[in-house]
Amino acid sequence: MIGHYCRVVWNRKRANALILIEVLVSFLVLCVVFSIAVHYAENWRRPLGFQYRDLWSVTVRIPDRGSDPLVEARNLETSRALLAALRGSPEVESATPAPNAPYSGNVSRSGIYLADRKLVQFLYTPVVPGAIEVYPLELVAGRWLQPGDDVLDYTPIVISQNLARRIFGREDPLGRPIEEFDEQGQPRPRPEAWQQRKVVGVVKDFRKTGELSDTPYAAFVPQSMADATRSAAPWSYLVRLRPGTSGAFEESLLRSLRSVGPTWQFEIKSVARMRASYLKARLLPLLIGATIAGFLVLMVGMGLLGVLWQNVSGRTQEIGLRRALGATREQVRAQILGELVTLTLLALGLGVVLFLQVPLLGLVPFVEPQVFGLAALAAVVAILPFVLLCGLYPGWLATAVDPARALQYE
Amino acid sequence: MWIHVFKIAYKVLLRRKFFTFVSLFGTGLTILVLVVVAAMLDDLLAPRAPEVHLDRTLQVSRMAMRGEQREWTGSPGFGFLDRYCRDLPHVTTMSIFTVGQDVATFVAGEKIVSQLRRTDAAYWRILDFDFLDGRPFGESEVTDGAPVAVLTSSAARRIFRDRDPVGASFDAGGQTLRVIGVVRDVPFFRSSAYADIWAPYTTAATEDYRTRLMGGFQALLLVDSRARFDEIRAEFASRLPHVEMTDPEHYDRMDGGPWTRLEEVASEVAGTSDESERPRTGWFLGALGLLALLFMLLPAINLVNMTMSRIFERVSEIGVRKAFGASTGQLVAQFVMENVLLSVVGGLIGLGLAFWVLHLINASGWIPNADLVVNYRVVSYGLLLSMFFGVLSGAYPAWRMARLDPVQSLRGGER
Repeated sequence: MIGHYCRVVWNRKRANALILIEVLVSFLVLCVVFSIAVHYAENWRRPLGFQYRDLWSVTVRIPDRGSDPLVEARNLETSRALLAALRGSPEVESATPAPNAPYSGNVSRSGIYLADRKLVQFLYTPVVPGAIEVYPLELVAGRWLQPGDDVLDYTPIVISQNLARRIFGREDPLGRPIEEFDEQGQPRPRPEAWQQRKVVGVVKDFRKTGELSDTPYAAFVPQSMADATRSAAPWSYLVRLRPGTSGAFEESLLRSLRSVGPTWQFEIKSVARMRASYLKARLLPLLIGATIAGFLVLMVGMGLLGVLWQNVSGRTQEIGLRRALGATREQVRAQILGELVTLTLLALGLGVVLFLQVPLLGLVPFVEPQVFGLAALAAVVAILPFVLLCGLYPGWLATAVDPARALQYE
Repeated sequence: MWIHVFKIAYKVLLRRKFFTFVSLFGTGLTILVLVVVAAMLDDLLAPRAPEVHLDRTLQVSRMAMRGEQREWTGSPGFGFLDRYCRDLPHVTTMSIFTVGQDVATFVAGEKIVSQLRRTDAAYWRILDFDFLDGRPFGESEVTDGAPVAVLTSSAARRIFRDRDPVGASFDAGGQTLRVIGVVRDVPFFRSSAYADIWAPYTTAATEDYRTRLMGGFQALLLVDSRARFDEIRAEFASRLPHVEMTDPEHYDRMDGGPWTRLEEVASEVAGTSDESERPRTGWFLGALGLLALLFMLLPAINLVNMTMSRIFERVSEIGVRKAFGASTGQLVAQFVMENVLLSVVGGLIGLGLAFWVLHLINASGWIPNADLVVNYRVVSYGLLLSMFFGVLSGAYPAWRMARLDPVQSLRGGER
């Protein structure tokens, strides 16, 4: 049966080639849109690892930062007073220095080479012990950072679950040093002994880059507020507010910050608002792309309907002959739809092979391969019924052919 | 003859209304999307107020400072621009100003965020702002660091409500500024002009910016003629090795150059690894053209498909006309005319829809202060594209038709 359809399709190869290309291109367009949507949806399902509500980011611009250690020490002193001022307000539950607010689009990463010469980059977040309540983070093993961690003869580090898995696999990471290597795989120790990192705790995955983005590796280290040789003055803070704090608090907070650092500049942003613009920046282009793709596919569908209609009215004699030889209406309809399905399956098969080259060749390495498989499946599921729908009316038209009148033609 | 061809085309299109509708729908949609993109590119790249001299302006907005271990790419600093970019040959006016920075103003407990730029006095000479009230600040106010500001009308309305802004003072990020002028709002895509508040660069909280090689500033160079661009780039490049590094321990050289807006956009989209290399605009424009072609592919195939169907429905007509001596050229003209007519009507529909969509984009606030318009350039892109589209989709069916055998066609065609 299928072989028969294939032969019929092949006999009209010129006209069918155009239909095939049309279905193929619409399939590929849908695949791209669905890949992005599936990628976002997959990311959206995973827990965020922190709370964006009632969270403010305070960015500080320190005018004279430089290599002068005296200036740096003074800056750190002002930062200490700043942190105290932040924590001193009754509206504030807790505060911590932390580089790059969530959803800001900026990240500070630290990159290390592992023994297998693979580069691992993780969010590098120097914080004070209060940070676990600011975000808040969920500890799954070991301990969180504590006061005094910034004066030890090593650097205690708390890493996210996915980073622990990446570096230590199934082994227990607690108490283990993070060994670094150079690009040739030779061990490369840190210049100072206190810089050697040792894992003290593991937290749940921390998706600072947002719900729609990939889960980054993350690590937290102590930020020293006293020793300028260990830590530079932080340029960004996160503040957890008491629920229900009004936006008007911002003005009085700014005033108290300015009294601590008169020459410093401050910028306060609500993380919830940054999240809203983050979501808009990603979903709006997807929405526009999906709308255009939808219109394209609709257009192709209407074109297909027109062409099939034409096709059927051009084959009146053939259909009339078959009816006269005893084919039932259903058989005629099956013939028309069967040809269409054969052609569509051919186009989709070609499309799937073409599209799966994207994950196979690793063209977009940061997206998991199954996303593309799922997207291709979704595109097939969307196109097949749609194409069949377009074939229904021409199919019905074919069954309406009156054999006697069709054969009278010649 | 042409009126005749046009008449037949019109009749034929009316006969198969469904086909005509689908063709118009596809063409209209394609032209709509392409015209909206063209209007955005035109807004970004063409000289429009306040950037009236954009076609003979070079900008230094992205530099790289490099060393053995480190690399810092971003906007250049005031120190670099002031010390090494002044007095370039053929540059009639040069302006140094900061990149936009968000500042907060509190009005009755409500926070208002504005973009603040600190500029010199030459800024107002290179860019032609539309002053609704007051005046820009001049050389003496810049030298003295006078705390004055120019506002856009919408920023003035947000901050002062119904009060007269000129002469009034307000707080911008902890600094009190007195308003001396109000200008019309600046669209976001006029990238070196876009801001809500402008103040003299000498009003910055500290003086540390004066010596910096990197960070926070950019420059516009107004050149007497486009033909001099290469000379200026050469002179700029020859000065770079002589830049005295402020942090020689970590950095030893600077890369970058004065580029046109198109080159800036090209390098931003393509992402350059070497800032000293002139961005490849040809590559960028070629890629854009290819994308547009790819985008037109699907509607074009659709149109070809429907034209083919239309032609094979009319094989007997073609046969009769051929038998009565119509030349292939005449028939091809007939079919291409039909398609061009369809495409142009579709294109006009697309243009009409584009007006509406651009109006929606302007009103949505998606792009701040957007005033995307369909001007004569955009209209001519649109019409040209739809003609191209019509010929593209009419050529293949016409070629197939021309090869029809009249005898076969008269019998009822190759069925």
